[in-house]
Amino acid sequence: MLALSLLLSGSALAGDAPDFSLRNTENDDVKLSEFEGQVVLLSFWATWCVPCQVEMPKLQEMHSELADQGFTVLAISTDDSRSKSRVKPMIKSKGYTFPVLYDTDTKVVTQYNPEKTLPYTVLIDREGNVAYKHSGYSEGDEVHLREEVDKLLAPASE
Amino acid sequence: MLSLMCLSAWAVELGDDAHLAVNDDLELRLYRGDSPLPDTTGAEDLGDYAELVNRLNAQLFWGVNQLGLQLDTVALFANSYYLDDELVLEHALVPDTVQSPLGDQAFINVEKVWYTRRLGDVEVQVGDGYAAYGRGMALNLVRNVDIDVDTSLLGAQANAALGDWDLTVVSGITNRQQVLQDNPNVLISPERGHMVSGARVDRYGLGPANVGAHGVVYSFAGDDGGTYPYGGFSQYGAELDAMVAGATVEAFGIGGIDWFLEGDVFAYQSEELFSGDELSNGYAAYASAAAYPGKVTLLFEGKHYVDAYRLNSLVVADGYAMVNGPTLEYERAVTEDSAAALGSNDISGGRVRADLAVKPAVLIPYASLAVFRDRDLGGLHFNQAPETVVHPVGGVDWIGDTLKLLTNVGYRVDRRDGATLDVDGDGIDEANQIDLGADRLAHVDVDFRFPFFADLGAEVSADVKRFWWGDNRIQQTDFTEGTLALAVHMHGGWTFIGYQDFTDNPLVQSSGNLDDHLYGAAEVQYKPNSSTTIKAFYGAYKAGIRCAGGQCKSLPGFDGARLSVSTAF
Repeated sequence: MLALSLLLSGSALAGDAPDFSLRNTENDDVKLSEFEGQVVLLSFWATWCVPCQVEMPKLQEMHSELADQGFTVLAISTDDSRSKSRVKPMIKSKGYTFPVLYDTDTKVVTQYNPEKTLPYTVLIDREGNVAYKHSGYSEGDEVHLREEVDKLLAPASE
Repeated sequence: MLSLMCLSAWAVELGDDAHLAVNDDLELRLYRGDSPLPDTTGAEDLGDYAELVNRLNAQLFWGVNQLGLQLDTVALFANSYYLDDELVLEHALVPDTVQSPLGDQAFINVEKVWYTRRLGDVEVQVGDGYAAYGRGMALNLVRNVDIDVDTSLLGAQANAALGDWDLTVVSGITNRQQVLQDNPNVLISPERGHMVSGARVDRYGLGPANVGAHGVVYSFAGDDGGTYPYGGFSQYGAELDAMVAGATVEAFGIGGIDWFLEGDVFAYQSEELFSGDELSNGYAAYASAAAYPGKVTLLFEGKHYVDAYRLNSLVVADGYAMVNGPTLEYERAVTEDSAAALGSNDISGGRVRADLAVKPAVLIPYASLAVFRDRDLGGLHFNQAPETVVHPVGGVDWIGDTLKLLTNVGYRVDRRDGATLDVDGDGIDEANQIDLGADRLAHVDVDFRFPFFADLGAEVSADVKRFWWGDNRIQQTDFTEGTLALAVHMHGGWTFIGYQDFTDNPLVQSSGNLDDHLYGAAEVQYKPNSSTTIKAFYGAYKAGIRCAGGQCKSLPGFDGARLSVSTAF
């Protein structure tokens, strides 16, 4: 235990949210750590997930409205290789502007959401800590989610 | 639960920079026995038994390190009884070929364990990991817990992101999940670890294009491989069983179109992978293209596969797939030869889909049409003749402020050629004289969400499928099946759901609790906080085929009660 404690004391992470690197729909490399200092909403979704489709317009509203306050949505597609071709056309057809990342080999979803429940939301504060997790979506969930986002944005916007 | 809280607290003691993430899913299932004992007073419930399944996922992060663990456990209760002074075991959980320190009524398994360390732009992992190359034709082992077919690679892998270059190398043996989380655990099956090694390199930023290439080699374990994972190298033989090489090109905006192209060649070495008596290698070509003229999104895919899925034939008994090619197939369209659409060895054709953003993000009608020529007559298929598949689908997504409707309807025809079969046994094929007809499927999906009394939310989800069969070796009876779910979301985290299933498929391996064809169930869900979900279910649902991530599995029905608790720390 003591040895493990000493080993762990050498950490270099700013927060407890594990960093990751994924390609977006334009094949640019996107790292979570690039958003340090912002409030980040990770949304795990898939093209075949109906509740995800229902939730996404709410995420787009928040993304558009709060971007200038240091808030961003990173929508992480858990579509595997099989249905990857659907992802970008679906996003473009619906007019969403938040970044969409491919987690084709399921590495990031295994870290954040090992049960792969969809949709799955993770809120990360400006210090890089996981502040909130939520699985599933039903009508009204976005109200509580917005409250959590506002709480995290409040210190910087005051 | 107490132990989990202790684990969570323990991480705090380790230091501020360490973080322990724990997910736990606990499920208690009470099965209503399906084999009542005759002429035994009070014995009608003897066949009932309970099953306790727990999945613990724990991940410890510190600095650039990550240590992960998935621990699966299952125990059966009230699984045995005395009949005429003899002990009767209702269901065996652990066979002799699987070591179990907990005896034959309980099983604990360190299902996945891994350590990852990031060294600058390089990430190294030992233990269980996942890998997918290209669009999955050469290798597609990804986390798929949706239908209990999760298979990882137990070994080592490294991923390097070096500027415009990405390099991935992986080597290991397959590790299939043994404890089923959502289905009855009857006879834990012994593991066979197949050896897989591969490498892929991607070059990004070549103008509007990215290119990549990959190679994968396979060596399959024999049936007498011994106790996993200690069967030794002798079980794999001296030769590789298969080799796959492929390349991809992705380009954005060329001619206003986004392009993706992939080609793979398959060299099969093992006799078990041969097609007939001849050494038959395979190849696959896949292309997709997307264009966005005005309010329209056009998506096209084309494919030409020849002996492209033989790798999966050696893991059919293990219940998962090694490779899984891309498709835009409507996943619920499962006919008797669903693999023909989802993963045929020999198929050519294309599909086009058009979405019209009448009001972006709110109202989007769409339509698609697929035309394929499926030539596969062997392997996982049981077609007697090649067939032409035509499948139009139309639908609409309407996501308004108060009303949401996502629905689609489709009609698929698998028209077989005239048969060239020796039907009278004289050694001569009666070419094109036998009409094998067509298999037909009509399907409708509806998901409708609307406000309910006092700002409560309600959802209706339904799907109906009607099958008509041609000359078919397996299925001869037309049938209809469908599911209906009505959910009401209350304030305070409560949800009430009613389920109803129907099927008159005579081959289905379950019977209804309301009548022979009709199943009913109710469920209450409660979320005391955002990280915890408690569900209580009572009733029955039908057996059937479920697909997720391109893999399909025939799952048993259920009749009884179920209590589950999912929580994350």
